[in-house]
Amino acid sequence: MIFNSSGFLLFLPLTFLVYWVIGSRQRNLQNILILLASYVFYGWWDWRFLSLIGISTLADFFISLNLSTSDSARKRKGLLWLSLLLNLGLLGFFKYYNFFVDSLQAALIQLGMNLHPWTLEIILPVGISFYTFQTLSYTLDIYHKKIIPTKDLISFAAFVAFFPQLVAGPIERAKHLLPQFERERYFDLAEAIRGISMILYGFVKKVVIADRLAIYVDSVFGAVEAQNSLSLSIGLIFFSLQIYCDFSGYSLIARGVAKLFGFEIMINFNKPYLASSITQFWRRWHISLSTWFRDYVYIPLGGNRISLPRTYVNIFLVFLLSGLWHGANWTFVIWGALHGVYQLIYLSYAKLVASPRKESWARTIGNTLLVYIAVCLAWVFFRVDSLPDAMLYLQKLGEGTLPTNLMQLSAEKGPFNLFLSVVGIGILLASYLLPDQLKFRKPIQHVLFASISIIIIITLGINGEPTFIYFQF
Amino acid sequence: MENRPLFTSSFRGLATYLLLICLILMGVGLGINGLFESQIIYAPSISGAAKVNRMLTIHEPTEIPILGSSRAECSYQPSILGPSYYNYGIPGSDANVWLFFLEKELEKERQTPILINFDIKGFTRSIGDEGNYIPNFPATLPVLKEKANSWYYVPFVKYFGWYESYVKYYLNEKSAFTKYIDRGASNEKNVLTPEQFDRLVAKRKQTRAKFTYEKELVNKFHTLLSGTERQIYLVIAPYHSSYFELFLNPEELQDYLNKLFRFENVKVFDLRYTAIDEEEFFNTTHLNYKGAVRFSQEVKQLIAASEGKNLIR
Repeated sequence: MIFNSSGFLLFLPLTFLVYWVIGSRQRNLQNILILLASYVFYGWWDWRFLSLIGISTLADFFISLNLSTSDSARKRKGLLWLSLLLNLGLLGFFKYYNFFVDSLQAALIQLGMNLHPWTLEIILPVGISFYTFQTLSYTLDIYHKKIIPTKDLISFAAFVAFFPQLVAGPIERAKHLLPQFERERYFDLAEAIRGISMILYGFVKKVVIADRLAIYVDSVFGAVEAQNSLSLSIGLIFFSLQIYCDFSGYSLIARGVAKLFGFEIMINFNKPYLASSITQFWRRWHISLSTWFRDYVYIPLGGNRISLPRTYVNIFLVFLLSGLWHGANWTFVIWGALHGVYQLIYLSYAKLVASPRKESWARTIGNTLLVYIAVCLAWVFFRVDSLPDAMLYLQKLGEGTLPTNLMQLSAEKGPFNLFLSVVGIGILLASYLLPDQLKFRKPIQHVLFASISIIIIITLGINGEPTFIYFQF
Repeated sequence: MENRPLFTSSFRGLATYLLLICLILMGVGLGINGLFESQIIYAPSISGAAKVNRMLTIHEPTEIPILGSSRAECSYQPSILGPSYYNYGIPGSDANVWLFFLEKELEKERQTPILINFDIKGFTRSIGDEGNYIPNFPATLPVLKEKANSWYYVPFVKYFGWYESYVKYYLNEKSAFTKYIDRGASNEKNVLTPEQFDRLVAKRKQTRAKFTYEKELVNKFHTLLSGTERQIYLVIAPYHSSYFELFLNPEELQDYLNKLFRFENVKVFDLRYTAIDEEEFFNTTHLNYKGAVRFSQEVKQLIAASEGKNLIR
């Protein structure tokens, strides 16, 4: 099931009503309901893959219980490896098997050896990258004795499968989310109303802005050879905003839905394109993944407590892995590598010109623009299907050609679509004037915000195929 | 946070909040709905919604309707064909839609001829934009069928996803900025670059096409033909030569067209191979304005000259 589907419009109120009829004193029953609802939510897409979540849940639950009771370092390490092998094995098989086989085959062909293809017809289970990382963080935290394992299987299973963030995050940490399953949750009117505002804001971002921009973007990226530099530039800017609104919209809906059930899940985006350095960008973009890689890869590799060259290698490696996490394609690897290079350039530069002087606003704007352009150029690799496509895009982008007619400028989708895309961007910018985290002072402001959002969604929203970009990851 | 059982103050607060939103939405929504239905949706002659509405609700005794898909819409200029012609071509639609139009047309007490643009892919089903049929829902249920949704009964909400389309048609008609418009007929003013056109031709050359004979639709057509004495002109508008390269069953199409001789009130004008210059095509299946003007003049002459005979050429 997907947030922007008609099924969810029935599923959410029904689950909400039953959940609060059960009441906060029946916490276990509420957790069972959340677990069942989450499995229905996931199984709506393909019930067979519920078994993967089940395996992951049971394995990590029992491995973690054993981890906490064992004093033997060797046994603990063995149990950790078992969890890593199981989780990463499932992820590797379903997500990366064909990628590695194809890459190996291509490499062997380069060496003059021809092998029969070993690729399999594998369906990528939705959300596997997200829940695998979530359960892994639990086992790793227990191994490092940062948290103690839960003995409540239902709570743990509900934590792994919690439907608001199951298929596209935010990737929650056990120490933050799991305790919320283990305590009573109360209906808080103010938080519930804020949750509804978040859900509606998320839908505006997704249905009004992201899906609108997608029309132009798909047209441009679908026929790069027929475009001019101006339409390619617009296409790239639109894609940068599309992916932001698509993903941050999903995260907002997830946070809003969680609030309706008395849960608080982490903020995943914080106006990333206003970052004035690439490091700042990654503190604002997909925060739950960036911090995951920081906590479970970068810091265990030594963090910044090791030599500078090693630190740089580790940073680069983290971004390479982040790229690979996004998808089994060399384009994602290059995208990650580019961001790694950006980081290294920025850190080297920052070390060279380290000065405490206050930045002028003009300099901040210049830096923000520079970061935005760098991020946009990397998005080319993220959006295209293959490396030759990316090279063609960048080549044509650099040619400096202008459109010969209106149709070429509007990428064959018409000037009205282009106009509505600009309107969508205007709505996004206007939404930046809203109070932080939609903390309106008066309830009537929430009422007005919700009403205006619904009117905008109905009148300007795209009624298309319900999906989100990050589902493919 | 306090522990409160369900349906006490917090939930009453939530209910009040939702009720207020509903009240605002009802007021604003009904206003927008009324504005669109009175001023926007039916105003432009080229919008599919306006054409459906016109066919279902307006009766002009002298009108000669032109039925078909986007190929009908862009190929026949009513002002050239004659003062009574009106173009009901619906982009993206197939035989099931023009058959629905034909059925509704034959329910009227008119005696005028009917011009049907016949696409050589034959009797297939496609309705084009659902937005064309929503304003007249549930009268359009036979076309929408399984695509009909329960919220099509709810004012304001029923147009979700289609407001843009209605405004676009409205602006196009008002400004005549991007289209040539002529009593339901429309042609893009923008032209493709030669590279874009060549790309379409190359793509078309690799695309298979065939004549499809769906029995249910054919039976419906023949039943309608048998039940009327009104003159029917079945016209096949020109295609770019690339369309025929992978056209799989031209003989089946020809057989079918020959079978239509048994209907005395049907005249078939097979003009698919009509020599049209490359610059008179918008793409490989649609004429541009220049092509439409020339083709309409030819159709006008053929209709005038065809008294009492079928013309398949």
